[in-house]
Amino acid sequence: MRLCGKTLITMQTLNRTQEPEVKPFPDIELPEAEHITLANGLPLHILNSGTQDVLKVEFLFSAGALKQPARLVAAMTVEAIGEGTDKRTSKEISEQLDFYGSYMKTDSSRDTPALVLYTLSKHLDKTLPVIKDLLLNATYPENELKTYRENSKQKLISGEKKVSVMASKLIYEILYGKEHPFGYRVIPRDFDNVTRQQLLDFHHAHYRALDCDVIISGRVTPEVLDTFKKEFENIPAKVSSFNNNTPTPEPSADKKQVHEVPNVVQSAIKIARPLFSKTHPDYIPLQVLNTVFGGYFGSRLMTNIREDKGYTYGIGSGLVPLGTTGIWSIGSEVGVEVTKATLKEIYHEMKVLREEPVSQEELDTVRNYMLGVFLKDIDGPFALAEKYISLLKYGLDYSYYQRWIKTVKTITPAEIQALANKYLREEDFYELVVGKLG
Amino acid sequence: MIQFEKHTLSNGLKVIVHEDRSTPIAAMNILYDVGARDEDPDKTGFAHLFEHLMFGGSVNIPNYDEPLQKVGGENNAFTSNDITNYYLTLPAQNLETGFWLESDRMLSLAFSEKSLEVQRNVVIEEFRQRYLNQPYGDVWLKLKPLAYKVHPYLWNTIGKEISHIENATMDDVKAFFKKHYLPNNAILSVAGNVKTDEVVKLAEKWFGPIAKGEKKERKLPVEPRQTEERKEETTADVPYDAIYKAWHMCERKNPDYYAFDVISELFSRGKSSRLYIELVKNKKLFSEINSYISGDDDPGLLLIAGKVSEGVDMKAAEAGIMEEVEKLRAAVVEENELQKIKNNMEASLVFSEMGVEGKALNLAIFELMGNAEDVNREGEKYQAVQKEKVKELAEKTLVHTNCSTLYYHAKKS
Repeated sequence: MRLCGKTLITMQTLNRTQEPEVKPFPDIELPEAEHITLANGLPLHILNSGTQDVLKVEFLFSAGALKQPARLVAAMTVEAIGEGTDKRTSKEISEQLDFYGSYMKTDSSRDTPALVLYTLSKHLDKTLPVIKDLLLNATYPENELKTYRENSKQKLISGEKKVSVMASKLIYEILYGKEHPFGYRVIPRDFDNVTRQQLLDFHHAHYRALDCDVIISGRVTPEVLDTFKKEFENIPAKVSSFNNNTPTPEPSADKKQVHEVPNVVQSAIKIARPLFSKTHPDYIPLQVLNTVFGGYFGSRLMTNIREDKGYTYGIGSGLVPLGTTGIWSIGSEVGVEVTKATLKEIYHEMKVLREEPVSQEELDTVRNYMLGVFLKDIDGPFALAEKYISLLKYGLDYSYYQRWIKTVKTITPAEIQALANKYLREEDFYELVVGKLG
Repeated sequence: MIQFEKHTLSNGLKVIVHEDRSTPIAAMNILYDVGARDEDPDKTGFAHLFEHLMFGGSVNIPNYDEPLQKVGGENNAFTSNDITNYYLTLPAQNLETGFWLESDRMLSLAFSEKSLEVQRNVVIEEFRQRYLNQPYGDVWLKLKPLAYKVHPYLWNTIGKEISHIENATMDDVKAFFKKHYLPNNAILSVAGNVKTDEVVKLAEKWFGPIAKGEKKERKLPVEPRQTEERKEETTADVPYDAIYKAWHMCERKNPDYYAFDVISELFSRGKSSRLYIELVKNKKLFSEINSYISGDDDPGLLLIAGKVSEGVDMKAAEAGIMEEVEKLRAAVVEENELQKIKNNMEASLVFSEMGVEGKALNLAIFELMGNAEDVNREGEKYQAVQKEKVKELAEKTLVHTNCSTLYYHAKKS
């Protein structure tokens, strides 16, 4: 609004075309984990904050697919850990946890399986002994395993009827190879082939041995720590540092694959390439490039393929660290008739990023967006625990986040373009369509 | 316990503020009292399509997302049978950017033809992705019209059919906006590292000048009492048979709501629940089974949905469900089992109030139901549920004549 000397301004007019002043970004304060080692060597990592009387306790193992003697053993050991112990039946286990409003989650991820307990702090002395029982005394009773096997097979078969689920599995097979522990796709028969003895042995070697890190977040009072000491410090623990050395992937020779599914109205698209894990120096700057490319609502892929063309409900890309390797993957579900057109646009957006530097304005938006999401990602104790766990898994420390913040704040358009020319080359990517090519 | 303050602007906009100094961010939630139930039966899916158009630029701001991302913010929205809800989070010091964006799109949209055309396509792809292109995805498209005959809950938020979305015109869009997107038809809540008086000032500054409109009384057809058992069968290319059963229950505001919720929790909360232990573990009739309530503003549904185990006959599986239903009708639940459910509810409430986003949403929803204060009374309402009440409602409600059953058959190859 232009102020003119003769105009008498009686009321302040609101200029709605002018955005409010953007305040500088606050310094990010990231509360760090405290570390306590119990007398038996078991490491506890503690994020004590928050206003609610809750706790999340995560027992994190590196006993994933890389360590297993046969297919599926690692995942099944953790998933079926609650089927019974020599003290409690599966029903008693569930009843005791349910009665106190707590719940247990198992994470059977390929590289870092985990057993997680969510509980009100005041009930920890009732719920932690159950988890301890599972860790030390799981028996995998044959009759329970039978039900577990049948139901798991059904879930697997149902899940794979979704094109997006099928594509997410096949892309690992393509990038790692069918025989690689991170590449092979579980088939229903695998559930039958795993024996009870294999589960007991694997459990004994890793879970019974307490070969893990324990991450405790929430309101961690002295009483909470006393409970941990009481339950665990007298049990021998074999704690070895995280080791997920990953065999070299053997990607498929066939770089463009179509997995035909009849009678679908949408295809799932995956375009992905092998990459490295979080320890690589280019990992952080690549996160910035990835955000520009397909990592947020305003990304190039979303803007072009959803917001301009309306081909899809959503499209995105992401870096996925896995053991000491990783992948970079683009994924979407699109109408069968626009599948080819979508593929073309994805490659086009790669090319644009290689050939033209991003504008300072777009980069500033991405910087602030990433820093804003970081702030949200550290809201609350459970979120802080997640941030710590994603360091622990890859042998990193908190200096990683200082580097992350610095890189996000200072990376230049030229550096991003150089990264695009190094990593966003069409010939390095593998293309998979599950559904129909149109 | 969420502490908050409430103000109403002269144009009718309700403003609720919760201060939480433990976080550097702020969440802003704006709830419009309009959902799929307010749609014309020939133009269904419109509330949801409209939600998409709210991101297509407003009268003074060509792009909604970009300026928000520029200040470190994130946003999303959802549409239900009853409401349309928009929410964002951002670093607290840039809260005013949220007010600028949200007030401008309440004032008026850009109504761009291009945006309408693109979002029609996006929503059609969403329809396909969620309802058509995955196994069992169309269950609700079949079950709701079976359970409801006249009330608008008979259609889904996404709409009855794709053609309704394809046929949406700009005139429809404008009329919908004029009718529903009014300050006196909305609730604004802000939670996070903010000061109440500053939030109220910002609300007055940005939303205050928006004129109030005529809020029309909602006159929805009342669903007549179901008097006969309803059954339907369908066959699709899915790997296993499935059964869906729906009983009519009360509306969200009814005091009986809590006992109905307890019934669904008794059925399927956790691996010690009745349906899981009896039907999955012991009798092996189902590979998975769940029970839940729809929790709608108008009288809703209590549902049981299960995937039948391979080789098990559909009728035998259904008989298994009915046996559990009969048990609940025949005997009062043990005090210990009821206490388990109440403990679960207590924990769920504590867990749900861990982030500012959830707190802002809860405040707005309870205010819409009548009073934001009630957000802090949920715990005691669950604790007050009596075992006799649970039995009484089960006896009255879980009867054949009040039930719609869908047999979802796997196509034999």
